[in-house]
Amino acid sequence: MDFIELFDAVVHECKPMLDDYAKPENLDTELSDLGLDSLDYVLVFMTLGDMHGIPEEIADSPPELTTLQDAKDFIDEHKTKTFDSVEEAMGAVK
Amino acid sequence: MIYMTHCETAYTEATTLVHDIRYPQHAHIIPETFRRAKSGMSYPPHKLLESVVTKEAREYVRNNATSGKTAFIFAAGNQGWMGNNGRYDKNPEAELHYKVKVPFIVLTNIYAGRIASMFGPVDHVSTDASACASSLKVLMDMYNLVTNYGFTRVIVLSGEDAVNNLSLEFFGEAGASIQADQGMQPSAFDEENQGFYLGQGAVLSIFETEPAKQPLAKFLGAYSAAEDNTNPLGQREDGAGYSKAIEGALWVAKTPAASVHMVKTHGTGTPVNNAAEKTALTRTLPEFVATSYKPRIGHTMGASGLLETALMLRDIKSGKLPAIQNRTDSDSVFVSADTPVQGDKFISLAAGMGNIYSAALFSAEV
Repeated sequence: MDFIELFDAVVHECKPMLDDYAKPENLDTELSDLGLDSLDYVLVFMTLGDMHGIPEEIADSPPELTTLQDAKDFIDEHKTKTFDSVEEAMGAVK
Repeated sequence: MIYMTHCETAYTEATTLVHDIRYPQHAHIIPETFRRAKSGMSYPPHKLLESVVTKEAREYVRNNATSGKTAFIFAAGNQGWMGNNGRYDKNPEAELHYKVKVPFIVLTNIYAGRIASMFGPVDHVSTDASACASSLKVLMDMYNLVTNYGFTRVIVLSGEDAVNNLSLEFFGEAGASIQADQGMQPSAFDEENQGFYLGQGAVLSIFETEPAKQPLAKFLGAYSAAEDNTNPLGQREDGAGYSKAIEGALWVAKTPAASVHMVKTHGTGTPVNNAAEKTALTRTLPEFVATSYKPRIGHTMGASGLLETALMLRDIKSGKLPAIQNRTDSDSVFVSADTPVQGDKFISLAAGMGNIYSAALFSAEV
């Protein structure tokens, strides 16, 4: 599954108005360059954590994440659910 | 002079039967707002509110500088409604059940600040929790900012979490919202059809003294009042609160009562509100015709005052004051049939739990 596409789909659900948001070009993109505010981060990462079945005690205390690759690595390390496609992942969210 | 230059609305006339709660009832629901809400991925009122914060409105504010200061007011009604709170059933399988993951941002000052930032730099952000009177009550605050504090533009956003299992159960238990088995239709000032359905609704308005486009209306004045009451949830049937609000708005607007001939009522249709509003209007305005929008779009609670004002403006520009739906008797004052527009001024009323009554006066002539 393309993590950038999944991240982008989650941002589109969580962030009000996308005027300042820039879809990440690659996994090296720094999270601070995406035009997300602090609340956007909370909602986006909470959703990604929930979606992948990451236990709350882990999801609530992530390490410092700098790039999208860091976020992907964190999720890959702790996830208990996997998906084949973005559609399947988004479809798993009620 | 203060003008309303922008007005975006969200509401639906369609109703859905919410059957899996203790007090089954119809409600005006916009299904899209509940998408992925069970997971807490989004919060239904946010989706609703954000639908009226349009790109056009944001760009209008960003691209048209104003000489004074800009304020953003979020009229949130009662900020405590959340679908899985309270003493009512918390069945996660219920159709409207949703999760609130981050309650500190739901309808709070934090959310207000977040939305305000979408308009560029603002000089003042505030929220209001005056229940169902909220969106009209803040017009008094808007007037104050413009008149006394050097503001030339005030953006007002309003919406409430009006339709969720908690609000439906609460109003159902109180006997205010019409239940599915009552065999009644929503109406107002009617002997047979009494009460309302709840409805989702939101409104964004921009008020300013230096319009950069053709204004929609002139704002003349607003006032919010309280009246002695031993029941903070209810109203006085003698209409004293409404009277104070109407007289206050007329005084601020320096407008004689005899020059106002049209009224957008709060018009919930409950027996107490029917009596209170009718008594107050008859006492304060010598000659008028009045309508209610709640039978058509539901009671959108905090948003209702300003949202219904926007609908009234559209109707006035089309030349008619619309009939109050589902009236069972003929009435030429609380109109049971579409009625020609009378003059250019109208007064909008709202009342909220907590002993709050608001009135705002507009002219459709700009």
